[in-house]
Amino acid sequence: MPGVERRSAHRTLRPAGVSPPALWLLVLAAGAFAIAGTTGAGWLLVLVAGLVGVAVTAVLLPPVLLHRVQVEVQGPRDARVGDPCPLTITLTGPSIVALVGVRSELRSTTLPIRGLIPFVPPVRGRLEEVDVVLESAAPLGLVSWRRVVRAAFAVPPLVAPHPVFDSVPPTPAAPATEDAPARGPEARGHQLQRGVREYEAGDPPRLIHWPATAHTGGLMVREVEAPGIPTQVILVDLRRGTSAEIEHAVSRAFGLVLTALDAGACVHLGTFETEGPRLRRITTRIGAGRRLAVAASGPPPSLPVTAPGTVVVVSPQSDIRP
Amino acid sequence: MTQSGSFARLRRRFGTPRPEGSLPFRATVLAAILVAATAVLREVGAGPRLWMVVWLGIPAGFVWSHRRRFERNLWLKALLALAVLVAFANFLRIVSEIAVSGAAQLQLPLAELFVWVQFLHSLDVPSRRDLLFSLSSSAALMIVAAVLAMSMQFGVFLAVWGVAALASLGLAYRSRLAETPGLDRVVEDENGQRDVAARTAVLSFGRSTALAAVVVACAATFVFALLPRTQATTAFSFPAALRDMVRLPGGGLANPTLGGGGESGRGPTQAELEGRAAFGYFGFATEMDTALRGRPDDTLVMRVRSSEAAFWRGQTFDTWDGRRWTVTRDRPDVLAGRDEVIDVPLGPYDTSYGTRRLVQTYHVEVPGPNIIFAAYAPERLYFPDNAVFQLPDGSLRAGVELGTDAVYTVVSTRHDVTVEMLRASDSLPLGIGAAGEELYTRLPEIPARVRDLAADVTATAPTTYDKVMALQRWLAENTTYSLDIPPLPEGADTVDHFLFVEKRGFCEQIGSSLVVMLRSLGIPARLTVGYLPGDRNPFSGMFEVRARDAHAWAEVWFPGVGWQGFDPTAEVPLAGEGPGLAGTDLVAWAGAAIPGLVRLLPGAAVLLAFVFVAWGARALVRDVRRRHGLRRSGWAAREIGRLERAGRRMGRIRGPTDTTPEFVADLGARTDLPAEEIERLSATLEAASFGPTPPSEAERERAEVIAATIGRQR
Repeated sequence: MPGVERRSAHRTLRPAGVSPPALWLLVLAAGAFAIAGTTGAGWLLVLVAGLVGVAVTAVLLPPVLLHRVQVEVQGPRDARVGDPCPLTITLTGPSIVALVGVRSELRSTTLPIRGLIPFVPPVRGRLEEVDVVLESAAPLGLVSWRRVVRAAFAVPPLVAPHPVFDSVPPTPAAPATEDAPARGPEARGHQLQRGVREYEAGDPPRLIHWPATAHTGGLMVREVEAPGIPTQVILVDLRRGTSAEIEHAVSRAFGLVLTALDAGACVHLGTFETEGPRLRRITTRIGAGRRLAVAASGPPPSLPVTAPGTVVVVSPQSDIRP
Repeated sequence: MTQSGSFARLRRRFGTPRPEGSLPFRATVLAAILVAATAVLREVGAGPRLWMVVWLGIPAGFVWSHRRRFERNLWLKALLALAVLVAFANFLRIVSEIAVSGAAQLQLPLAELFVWVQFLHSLDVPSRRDLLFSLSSSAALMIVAAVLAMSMQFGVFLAVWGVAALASLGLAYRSRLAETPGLDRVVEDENGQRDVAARTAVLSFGRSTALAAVVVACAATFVFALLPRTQATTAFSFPAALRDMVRLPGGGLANPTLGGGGESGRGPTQAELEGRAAFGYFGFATEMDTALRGRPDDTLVMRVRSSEAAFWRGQTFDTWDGRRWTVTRDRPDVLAGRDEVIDVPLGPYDTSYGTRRLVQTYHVEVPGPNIIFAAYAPERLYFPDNAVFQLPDGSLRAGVELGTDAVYTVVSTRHDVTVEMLRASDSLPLGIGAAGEELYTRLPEIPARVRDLAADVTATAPTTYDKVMALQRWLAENTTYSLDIPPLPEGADTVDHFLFVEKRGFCEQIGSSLVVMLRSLGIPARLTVGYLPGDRNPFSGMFEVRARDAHAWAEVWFPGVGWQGFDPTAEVPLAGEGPGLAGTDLVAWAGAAIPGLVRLLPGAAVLLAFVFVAWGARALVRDVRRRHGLRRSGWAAREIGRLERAGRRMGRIRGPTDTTPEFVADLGARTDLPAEEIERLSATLEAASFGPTPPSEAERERAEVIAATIGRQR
């Protein structure tokens, strides 16, 4: 369970609306004051003071209560653009009733609460923080105030692109090359081990490489290659193109990866990430989504002279098939 | 597109709203309405029919409306609209029968109209909007009640109504939010999370309502302190009412507060005075004997609504015989009015007065003298009788008894007198006429040392005003105020005895001494009796005049200015206080209330100590419970406790080092239950106490059956 911190980097607090009873209240107060002026009724002044006191309370109390609300937010490790991604939100502070939500879709609640709030990631990437909208007119419901809290994730969800399957080329058949002879595991009785790498979610436990794990201190798995399985290398080049074109290219790349994985191909994904160019084998959909979530504009990795199988370069302009 | 959007907005705003299902919200609105309607009925003294409409009709209407909230009720709406029109037509009929000047009599019909409309509306309040409208109309009822309220008891109604209204607003807000999809609550690993959530919601409402009430009270106090005092000068009609019209012999003075009422036209006898009521003031008679010792009490005699404090003047005495003051010219003129409005001319010994008007409305609380009190000088009288009597000194008497709930209004003209004006008046002709001068400077044979004292004290005073002030200073420096003075010796002169022998006295002795010394100097002066302004109630805005506020003071004639009051007993401003802030009265009221509160301190301290002890004991118990095991709450604790009791009966007392599985296994071994059942019970208890996932309902039920079976073992 990921730990979550709240960061108050950005806050806004502003009035959000006045309900009709608030206006009735002011009209009654004004009328009572006028009547007090003509009748000299002292109790009427007390009543006027009470009505004004209600109005003052209705205006001042909601922002004070909202200001004291603490917001924490947690999300799943992986998400996808356009797909529902409920966030776990924890609101503590004064016991008030309020509306809460991310963006404009607000839900009612009574604080304190730990609840799920609907959220659909709009863009790909590492979701570092979200704007949590709090709205309350508590306790009298006459004047609403809205506060936006920018809450940071301790473990930011990685938002994968929405895959686009249009114009996905058919996965090429497994080539029979010298480096990768068309022999299945059944033929040799075992798989080829290419090296070790860090464990990724979805890796079968039988692939854990215990000596390397003990050596590095982190969970390492054997990277194996079944010689009989077709290999596809997908390079994502996002150096040119508009923002929309880049996102579309990433979506197409994701579609390619998923199609290849579904076809049982051995997929290598080459992207440019924060750490630089990266070419790794992809074994799971989640792994592909994580890689593409953080794919950035930069030169893709250069391939070895003898690339293992079909190579596809996906860029905003077109798919380049060498 | 825009049109359809606007149309949708209009439909949302004015279309059929969603029926309101919150019973607490409906109940608090009903409570607010009942409190407000009760306050109105109490103030207007309504009959049993209206009480039944309020306390039977309105709740029944709410129940009916709640049950039919999903129906369209078109026929009902039509009937209600017709009924409202009938009620309004009836109100107009009553209004047409009331004289224009008697618009104050509209109170009861107006309240009746409000109550009927409220009742009719209660039959059709299906939605939240309707209920909020009802809440607003209850505020209108409170406004009506506040206009009529004079006593502090209205504060109780206001407080209860305020709490009900705040709770209603809070519940309406919650009901509104309930229509929005709620946040999915994440089920925690702890036991009984749902119960905690429900309890939190209830506590949340209680806390937020209490918080709102406290903040509203603080804000209202602050606002009230800043509001200007109420003014009573612009109403189109002034109150005048009389419960019973009991006629008195023409122009005579009756004062039931002196015991037996006193026969009209004469003062009370000594026998009457000895048996008089406790609060009466013997100055409200045609003769005042300064040898008598009276001590009026705190009885509330009347409330006065006025924008300024002033002396509520009753009558004057013109003739002094060394011991008694009498009204020698008590043959009154009849002042006739029309539609209960009576113009009051200046008396024969008055002069034209100021132009600033002061409206005072007097509400008689206990039957008193038929003197019509008024700030000097009355110009117009709104009185529930078309004739009153005016004495030559300008004072007014009613021709009827002024019993409880009698109300009359006096419009007086006021003159903002300055010291310069009074000093300059000496250069003007006296202007009171020879008869007036003779009447108000006349003295019997008085001891020479009184005359000499007056002459000595005023020897260096150049003007009449300075002479008055010099005598006042001398009285302040050489005499003391006291109600505990011995009886006047037989044959003694009151003024001489006070100035040279006793040197102690109260307002009659002090005021009489000033008047007598001024007359000895040839300055026209007279003794006036009436009431001090009294304490102004900061909430009702009215001056509360008590019997102990009865007072006597001197009036001195100043050419061109008229009669000017001087109170040698206390420092009294020449003119009334100006408009101020309501908070000033609040501070004064609090200051007066503090001594009473101090008396309550011991009891309050005991109560506070009890609360602290109870609070401490509660905290201690909670702390002990917490330290002796978090398991002592919830389902698991209850079942383990049951097993421990069973163990004690079976001779197996649980030790401090026994874990639950060990203890349960040991108990199970003493029963015929299968081992797997015992293990299941143990696992369920462990899961409920410490597990990440609480046991299911079925598992709990099964465990309870096993524990109960163990509990039945002997």
